[in-house]
Amino acid sequence: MSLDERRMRHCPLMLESDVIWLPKDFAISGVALQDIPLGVTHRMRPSAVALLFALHDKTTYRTLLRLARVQKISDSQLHELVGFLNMIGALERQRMSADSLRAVGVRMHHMLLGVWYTPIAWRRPATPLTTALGVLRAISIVVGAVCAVAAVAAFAGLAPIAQIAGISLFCITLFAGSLFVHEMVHVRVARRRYIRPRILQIGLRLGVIHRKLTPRREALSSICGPFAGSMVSAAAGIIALSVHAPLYGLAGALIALMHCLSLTPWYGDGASFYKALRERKSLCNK
Amino acid sequence: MQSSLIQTGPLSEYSAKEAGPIIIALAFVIAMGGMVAAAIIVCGWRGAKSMGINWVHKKIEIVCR
Repeated sequence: MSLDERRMRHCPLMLESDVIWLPKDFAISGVALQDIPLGVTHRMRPSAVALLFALHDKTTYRTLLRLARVQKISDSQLHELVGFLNMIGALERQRMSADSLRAVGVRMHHMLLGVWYTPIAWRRPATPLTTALGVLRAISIVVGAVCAVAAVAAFAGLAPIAQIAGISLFCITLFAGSLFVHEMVHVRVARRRYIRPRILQIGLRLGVIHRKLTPRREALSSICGPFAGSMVSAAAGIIALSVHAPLYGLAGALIALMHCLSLTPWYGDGASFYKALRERKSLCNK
Repeated sequence: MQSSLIQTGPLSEYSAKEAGPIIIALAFVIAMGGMVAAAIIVCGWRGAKSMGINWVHKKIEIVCR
């Protein structure tokens, strides 16, 4: 089978001194990598298993590169493997603080050359605390962008500083809160089937992954998350309107709309929902 | 052509529910930032008084001091 471009694109920036390892959710069994909580087995080429064993015991990227050369694994194959592990949240990385600044420099340099890296994945058992942390990690760029726009608008005198600070704080809090509710509802619905979901965050992408559910439960879980998120936002908007704060009401309505848009059939919740519907339909036809 | 080290991992078994609103929110914030930048370009630094969307004429209005 040829190399998968999508997996290669998920390869994060690695410095030779980075320490990397497989999280406890994963085990190596023969020539396969098992995702224990999700009950998924990924078959590997025997030459890749040596790398997985090294990752299992914690290793540096330098050692992994050396091992890849010994196993006659090319750079592209290694990037695909590392990208795949990152894509499923099977890669933990520890970087020395002195190297963090160097990594920013390397990233900027490569960006100018047209090479983009996917951030390292963050995968944890889905609890209220980890979900909240996942939401904060995922929206950190949005929060930064809101603060930057608000600061420029305030200093340019587009509106009173108190008004800009108030609406920005309201939007950030409501967005983070509604996303937390959105994800927790997914988790709760999946948990009812004694399933242990995981929170997976990669850059701006935040999701809940779990074992396969019945099509009915899958559809319910997919639709309940966006519904709960939009209800929280709409409720906040209605409360704002009731105290004669139309701008805050509009912000609530916009955030509610953003949750509803995640039900479009091409991506995330919407894709899961329509896939579950198709599966249910095919089961009924049998 | 080089071959993959991973033999068709059954990724379809993963049931991922992703929150799309984050990307939409970022796009919205960038659009707002664009409007702020436009107001500053049109009216100058500390020059813009107010801006908004005129739904009737379908255009963004920037009123300068």
